[in-house]
Amino acid sequence: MSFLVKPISNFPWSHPNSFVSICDKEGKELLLLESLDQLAESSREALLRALAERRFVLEVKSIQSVREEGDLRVWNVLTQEGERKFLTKLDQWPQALSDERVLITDVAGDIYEVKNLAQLDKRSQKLLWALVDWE
Amino acid sequence: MNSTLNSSFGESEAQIEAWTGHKGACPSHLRETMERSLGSPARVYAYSDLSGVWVGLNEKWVVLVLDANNCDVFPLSSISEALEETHLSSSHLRVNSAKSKQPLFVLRYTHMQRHAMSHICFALQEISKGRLDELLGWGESDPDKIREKAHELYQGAMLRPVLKAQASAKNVGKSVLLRLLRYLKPYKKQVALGALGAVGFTAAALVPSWITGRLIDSVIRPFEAGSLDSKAAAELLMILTGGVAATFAVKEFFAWIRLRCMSCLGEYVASDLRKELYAHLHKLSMEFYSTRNSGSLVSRVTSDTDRLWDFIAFGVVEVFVSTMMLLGIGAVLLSMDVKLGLLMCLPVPLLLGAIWWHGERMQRLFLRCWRKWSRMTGLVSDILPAMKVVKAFNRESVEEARFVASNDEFLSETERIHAAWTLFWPTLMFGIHALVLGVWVFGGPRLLETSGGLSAGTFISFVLYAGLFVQPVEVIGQMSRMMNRAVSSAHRVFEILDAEPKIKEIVNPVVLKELKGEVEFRNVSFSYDGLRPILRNVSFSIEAGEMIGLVGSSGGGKSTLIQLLARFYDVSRGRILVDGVDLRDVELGSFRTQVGMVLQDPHLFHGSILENIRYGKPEASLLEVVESAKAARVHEFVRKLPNGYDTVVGERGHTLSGGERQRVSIARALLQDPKLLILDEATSAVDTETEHQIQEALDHLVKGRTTIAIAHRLSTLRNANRLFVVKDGEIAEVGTHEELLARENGIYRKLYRLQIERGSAQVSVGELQGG
Repeated sequence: MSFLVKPISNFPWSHPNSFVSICDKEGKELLLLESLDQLAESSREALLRALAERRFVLEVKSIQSVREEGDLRVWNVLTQEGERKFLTKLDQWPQALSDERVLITDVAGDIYEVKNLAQLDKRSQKLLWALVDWE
Repeated sequence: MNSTLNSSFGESEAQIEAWTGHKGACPSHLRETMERSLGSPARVYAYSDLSGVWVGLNEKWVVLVLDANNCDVFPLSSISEALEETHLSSSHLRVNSAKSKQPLFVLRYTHMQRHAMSHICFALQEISKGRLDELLGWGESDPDKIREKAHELYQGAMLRPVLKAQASAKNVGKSVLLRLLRYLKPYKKQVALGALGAVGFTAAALVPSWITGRLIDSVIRPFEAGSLDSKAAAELLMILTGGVAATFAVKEFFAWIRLRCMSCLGEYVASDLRKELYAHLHKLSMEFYSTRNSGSLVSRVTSDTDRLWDFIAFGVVEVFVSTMMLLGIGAVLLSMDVKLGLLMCLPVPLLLGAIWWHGERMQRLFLRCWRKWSRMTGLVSDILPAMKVVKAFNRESVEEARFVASNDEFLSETERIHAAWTLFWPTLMFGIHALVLGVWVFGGPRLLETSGGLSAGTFISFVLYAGLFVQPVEVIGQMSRMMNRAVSSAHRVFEILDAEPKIKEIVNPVVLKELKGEVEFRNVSFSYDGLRPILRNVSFSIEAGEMIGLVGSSGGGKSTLIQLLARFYDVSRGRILVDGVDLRDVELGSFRTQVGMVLQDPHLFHGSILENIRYGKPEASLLEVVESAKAARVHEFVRKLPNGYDTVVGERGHTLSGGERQRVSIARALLQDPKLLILDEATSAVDTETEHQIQEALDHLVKGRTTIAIAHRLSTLRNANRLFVVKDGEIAEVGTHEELLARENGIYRKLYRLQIERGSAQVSVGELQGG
């Protein structure tokens, strides 16, 4: 028997693969998996794939430019999906998840993630310096 | 193909590309492929960026275009279901067919394309429900118009998030400063006088250093050498002293002219801008206000125009004067001595560059510091009001530590800032001193040469001129930052002036002097975004003097219906007739003065109750005011206030309760004696007792007028002649309370039962969504 279920990560940023809810089409929780370790290899892989797709964000590889224009900040970055341009409001700062991990949410709601500030190139670091907390 | 698209499409297209990096319209070679496989132009299209596919559909097919020679076409009839699911930063649209378990196709896209893709999703969902024909505008058959509409939909969707963040999608660019200078035109005389003042001031400022040089070369040295007797020398000295005195007087006179003219001029321009802006804001339709936050509009009228005053009064002149000064000094130095002149002038661009660089650096530092500051203040305003919670959980010391950490971070940023500027300025001054030193090093030996050497006077002049360098260099170095600030303010002001009202009057509108109050909706459809219908083909007519109650779950279209009647928006299709005249042909002013509106949360302006009641009719007599106040049950509570009708209410005034405010607003509407009355949930936000009082006030109000009332509580509508049940953009049921109650399985009956069951009429209809 097969039917459509949705896996939902309850701590998508802090503990992405713990406490995963399996929901039906309407979003009603069918079961809650504390950890994925108890699953069989094949199911775990399938679940991780599905979770990864839902957790998709644009990963920033380098920052080409950041400039202010009127009420907006215009970003030009390189991501795993190629070059992307996006806008943030002037007072909407990037959000630091930890010392090296930063999220930038644009006006459309897209999330751009810097996985590791220290691994960015010097130029990108310099462009981010005023906008992100980090020495 | 493109010839039919007007220029605003091209403009939006360029803007979308500049801001999102995505195409501003479907590229023409892909559109051709799309049209070829669909057999006609796409009605709606979007780009699924993560799948790399352009998707379009017409009334029969949906097509996925990968590239010009590679596309998949699916018949709409095969689609059983279209499901959109939204994740963190992406969504997917899964389209299923009735025949197979595998989806027909799955498209993935980021939020940037979500609005555009949701058009596709919505269209597919409607189609799978068999409602294709009801989609707005699908009756259109002119291919050019279809293309234009599809572009419009796509571009509107792409720009929607941007427009939420900023007033206009137009890119004004640097040319705004030129446009700003056009506002100087009515004040040509002032500008000329101001410029004269600036030039005169600059010229006069250059003279004293030159005179000092002359004093040495033409008086002191000849006197010491004995070629000038003491009497002649004293005379010359007197003349030069007089010259210096005169120069000082002239210089300050010109300074006065310049400051006086330019600061007033700045005020004139700022005031003109404010007036124009304020007037324009009143012209714009409600549609404009629905997407903007009012705080940002307020700051455009107040602080942005003020910054422009600053720019015109001082910025423009400072830069002008400083440039003149630098050029003047350069010219004088070069004319006195070419070699030393070059030595002094050549490093100037370097100094300017250094100041510019410093400005940019400071801006970054300030940005960081400002961020820490706002985090710290945010922490304070988050924690202090919640002291009870902090104490209850025994977190005082943790909160204190959190604040200390935040405060320390701020402190270290300020240290950085002070370290930067305190080092920079002395260094810069040292650079300027180095120039003077250069004059000493290269000019000094030439003083001792006997022929072709340097006169002592010229040397002294050079040293003095070096001191004059500092200020203009500083001003010009900071010019780019000042310009940027002015540009962004001008930008914010002009983008509102460029916004156009959507509601426009026709050239010779019909003036409705005496409104009778007949209203007719004829096949009215309406959509805010041009695709999703809020009202579908609504028709009804209301006789003069009738009271109509609108009921139904929220989101059904009740509010939209009355907004259309007040002409805050224009219908997408069909007509609204008032006394038999199309609302779009009616003169708005004459119409609106005869329409009374009582809203859910009435706004009273700062002023006395008397002024507030008289708002729509300032010439009303006191008797009229008291009569309408009595009818609206305002008189009773106003009598008890120590200041009576003169009590000041509104912002910073006496606080009235919600029910009292509502009754004042009813008195305000009553005084205007409207022929058509619109009540939008007038009693939803108050308790039962107050509702009863408001109800009494309303009973007076509705007599002899056409009334359309939306009500939360069904009991409010007991006097209505007819009730319209609005559901999913259609009028589902019409009848009196009794008639509707008698209907088996009627929507109204269900709503009514639910309210009774939940004990009294406290239950809001809005809570019963889908009930």
